[in-house]
Amino acid sequence: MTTLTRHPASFRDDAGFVFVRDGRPYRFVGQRLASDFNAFIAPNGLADELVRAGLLLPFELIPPETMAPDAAFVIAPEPVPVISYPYEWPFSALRDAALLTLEIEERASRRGFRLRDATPFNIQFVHGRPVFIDHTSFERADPGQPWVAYRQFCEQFLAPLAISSLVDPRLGSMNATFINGIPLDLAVRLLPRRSLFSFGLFAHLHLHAWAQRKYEGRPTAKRATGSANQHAGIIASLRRTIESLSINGHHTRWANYTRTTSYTERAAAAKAALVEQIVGYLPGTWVWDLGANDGVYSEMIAALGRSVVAIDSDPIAVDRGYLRRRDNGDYRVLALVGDLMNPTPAIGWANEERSALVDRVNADVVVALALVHHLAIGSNVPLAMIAELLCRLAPNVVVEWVPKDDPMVQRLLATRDDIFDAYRLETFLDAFHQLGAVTSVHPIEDSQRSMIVVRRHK
Amino acid sequence: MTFMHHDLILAYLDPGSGSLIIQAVIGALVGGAVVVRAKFGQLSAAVRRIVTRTKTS
Repeated sequence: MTTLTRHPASFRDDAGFVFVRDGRPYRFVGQRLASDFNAFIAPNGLADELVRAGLLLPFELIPPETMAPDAAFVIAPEPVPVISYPYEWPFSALRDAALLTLEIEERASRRGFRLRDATPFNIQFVHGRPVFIDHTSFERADPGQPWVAYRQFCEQFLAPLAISSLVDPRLGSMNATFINGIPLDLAVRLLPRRSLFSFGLFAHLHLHAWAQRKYEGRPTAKRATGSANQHAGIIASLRRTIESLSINGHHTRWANYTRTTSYTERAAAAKAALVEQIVGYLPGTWVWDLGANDGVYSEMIAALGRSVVAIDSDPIAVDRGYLRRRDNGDYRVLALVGDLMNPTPAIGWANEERSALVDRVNADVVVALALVHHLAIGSNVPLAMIAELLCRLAPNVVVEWVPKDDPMVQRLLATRDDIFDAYRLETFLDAFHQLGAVTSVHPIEDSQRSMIVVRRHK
Repeated sequence: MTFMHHDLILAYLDPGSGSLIIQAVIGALVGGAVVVRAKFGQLSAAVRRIVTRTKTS
């Protein structure tokens, strides 16, 4: 028997796991899951329905003999180019992932199946849209049976969404600490009293937390006391509850919070044209836009035919961009919440289960507009370290230089000592040259700023 | 409790005893609504059919 290299996040079930061969992921389906899986992939069955509806990642079956002779089936799923995690998704993306899970559960139960787990880690954003990626999550079930993943759904979707919506969207970062779901007793302690007046939040979070405490550790029977209607009612109630959640109130509160620029209209147009021209001639497919705010430039770059990952630390701005593009049917940008001062670390079991952001960067080009002064002056990062990180992330870098006399820099310096003698264009260029990179500087018309293009030495 | 019975749920996840119980309780509350909504849908469809039939005839 050949040993398979299991994906480090895929250890929870011996009968259905992902392994990696030649850099490509495959899914092993063992004998225990074989009969459910066989029913799942029946012609015109549930798998067909979900793939056709764009809800499930398309896949092919590979003859097991070629790779894993003891498997009942081997699945080759369509590759997911950039893996992202729920704690990097803006609120509305996690909300869409929750609604996707419920839609799949609804369709599955109509065909006599159930999801045996309900975690956002079963979902990835492919071409900007959420798709379900775990082909072994489906089991045949009695229609009256309780949903075993109900608790997980409430802890991993409903609780974090409710907290982001009713407390603060910045608490989306809690999903990284509570990687397997927010304990409901904690969730209800954080939620404001008005959450008691929403039937869904009261029932699925408050009452649920109370019942968990009361019946903790007591074995429960599996009794088909329920009916298909009860299950349908639960799913419909969860859907209504999640649809009622939004972060609109926070949007309004933060309405004045944008990374406003000091640009004149003419300079802004010149900057846009320059970015378009520069990125247009750089090679490669993937562009990562760091400090993208709501992603206006990311959309421009995507319009050049590139695949874009847009990252910003402001969850409200990222969400605003996500919603704007989703509502315009524009799926070319993957919008993530991330802070360069503290990029997503590798977390989970053995620090290997969920990988670090910098290890997932597949960029041919990194773009950093109006960012350097925030890092160098706002957060005291030396220019040489910024240059080093940018060059590490991609072979081509487009970075905007914002000089010290720029009003935005002056604003950062207004309340503190200027200890930044080294904050000069020459220092920055020199740092790139030290790394063996070649630079060119393009002034932005009608402004003091310029665009630096860096090509890393191979 | 009617939910406490033989035949333990052995799932790949721990479904949680409290979670199963509360699910049955909420299910009983909202499951009725599903039936009512379905019946109401059938009823209004029937009424609509009758009304259209009367209109066309």
